[in-house]
Amino acid sequence: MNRSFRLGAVLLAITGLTGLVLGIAYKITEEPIARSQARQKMEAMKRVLPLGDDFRKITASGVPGGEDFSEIVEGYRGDSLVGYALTVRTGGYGGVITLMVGVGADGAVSGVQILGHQETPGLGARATEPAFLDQFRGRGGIPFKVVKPPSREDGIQAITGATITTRGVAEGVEKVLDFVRKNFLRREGESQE
Amino acid sequence: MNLFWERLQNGIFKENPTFVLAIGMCPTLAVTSSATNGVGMGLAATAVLLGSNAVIGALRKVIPDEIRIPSFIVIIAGFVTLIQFFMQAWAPGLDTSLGIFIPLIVVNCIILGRAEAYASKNPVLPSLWDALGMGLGFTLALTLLGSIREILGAGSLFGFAVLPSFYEPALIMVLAPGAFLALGIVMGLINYRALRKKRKTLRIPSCGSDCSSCPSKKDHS
Amino acid sequence: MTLVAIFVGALLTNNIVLSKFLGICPFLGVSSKIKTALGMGFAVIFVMLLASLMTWLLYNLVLLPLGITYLYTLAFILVIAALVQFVEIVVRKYYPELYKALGIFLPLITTNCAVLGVAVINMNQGYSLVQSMVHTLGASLGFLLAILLMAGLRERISENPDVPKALQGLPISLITAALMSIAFLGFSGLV
Repeated sequence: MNRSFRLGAVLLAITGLTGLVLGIAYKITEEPIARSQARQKMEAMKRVLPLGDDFRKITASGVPGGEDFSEIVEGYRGDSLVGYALTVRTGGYGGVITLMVGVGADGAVSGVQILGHQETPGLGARATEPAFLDQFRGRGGIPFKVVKPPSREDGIQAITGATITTRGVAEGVEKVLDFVRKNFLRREGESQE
Repeated sequence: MNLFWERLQNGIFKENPTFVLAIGMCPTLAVTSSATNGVGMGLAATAVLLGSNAVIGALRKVIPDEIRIPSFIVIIAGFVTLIQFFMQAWAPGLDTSLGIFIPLIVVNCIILGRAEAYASKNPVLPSLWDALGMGLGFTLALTLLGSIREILGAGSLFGFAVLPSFYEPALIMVLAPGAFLALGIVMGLINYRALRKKRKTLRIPSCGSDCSSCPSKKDHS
Repeated sequence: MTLVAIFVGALLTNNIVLSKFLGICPFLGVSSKIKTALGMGFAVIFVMLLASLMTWLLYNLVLLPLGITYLYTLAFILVIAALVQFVEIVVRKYYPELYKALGIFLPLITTNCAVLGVAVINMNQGYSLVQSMVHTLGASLGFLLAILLMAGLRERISENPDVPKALQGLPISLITAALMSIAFLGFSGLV
């Protein structure tokens, strides 16, 4: 029994010491990690709202449908509102795709960023490429039409072999556009191209 | 210094963890879809290996035999968590690409295997050299596989396009099957070369799933 | 995601071995005979279900409230190691027939990256307890499926004298796994 006790004590000591070291390391790296995450967020927001340089988070509690969006941010340049950036989750091919969509004050898409996905490399994963995402810029007419390339029709050119991913992204963007238009940009008689 | 070079050579060639000992297969197959990921994982694992081998080498006389495996696991888990912090703070891109395989370093047979086979029986300095050798061997293996898969599957290397644009990449190489294929063929080639040289195959059959049962060629007690 | 989608996803579409590369070591090492593969597969199912349950409880009832989620790597692996140890003792004492069938595989499962991997996935995806268990069931059955298929193939291949010498053993197994993986790609889009 003495032996077992001693064994247990040694293991406990090693575990305790490790835990202590990790606790200290955590405190030390807590700030750099937070800064790194904040920087990535900032970069993503600048990419979807290029005109903005100050971003403020707002809550959409009380607004119907607001819970679908994990984050809603107002973008400012100086004192003027340049648009909104919303983070939304949409269904992709391999799993959930997390998008950040920027909507300018004119009600059109100012940028789209993919924050997370589980799509197949070389296929759905190509959704992260600017060549694909830039297609959404300036668009406002929802619902989007997804067309198979190389089509001359006006619509979102799907990624070859990844139509489901494309549709998922398009749906996510539509959802954001719709929400922003309905709740933040109240404009009468706005024409949709 | 002789021991240093001997350990280095051992880890990179004679007992290369990937191609010879065939341990630590999970990350080998999973993260080698690009050369950069391969290098990143290799370096992360090497860092953990250096830390754990050093500490275990230092504590080897203090840790009672009956609880050595759990103790090793705790120490290794500690270093893996440290690496996780480090990457989250200063290499977030790599953290995202390597994903769950970073915490899985803790059950990477290479690390536990070396702790059991070498560090628990040798002092700190030789254990460090062993860690360096094995780590480098692992990193080189991963980089090689990653490069092969990236070049054939995406036409690029470390993100830079290296093949002419008329080359249609064999997408399968960066998908799951490509990992198995690349590793299988490379191993086959290594065997072929060994057979050619009339040596009996230098492949040690797969260790099964028990890290501690991996045979080690030499033991510097 | 619906429970069915999670289940089928883990079993087929994102098969834990052939697609997510978890559990490769036992997959390659213990698949030379169908009987041993079966034993390993069942042992994994058993341990994985228990491990996912315990790690979920640990994460949600202890780590999260105490704000020490950064210790999950250490905590999870300790739980798994302790669990396996405990299970081995219990099975050996009270279910000797079961121990004869599964026993030898149990200690090997501690370092099985599939067990820890699935627990971490459950945590990352923020699954509820039910979702975690469904996911784990699908994943462990997926492991069983993969290892059984592989064992069946390997038994045949080992009897075949035409395999080139350089490819015998691990290389041909890996190439076989590659072909299996391609086949499983066919399940994409199922969910």
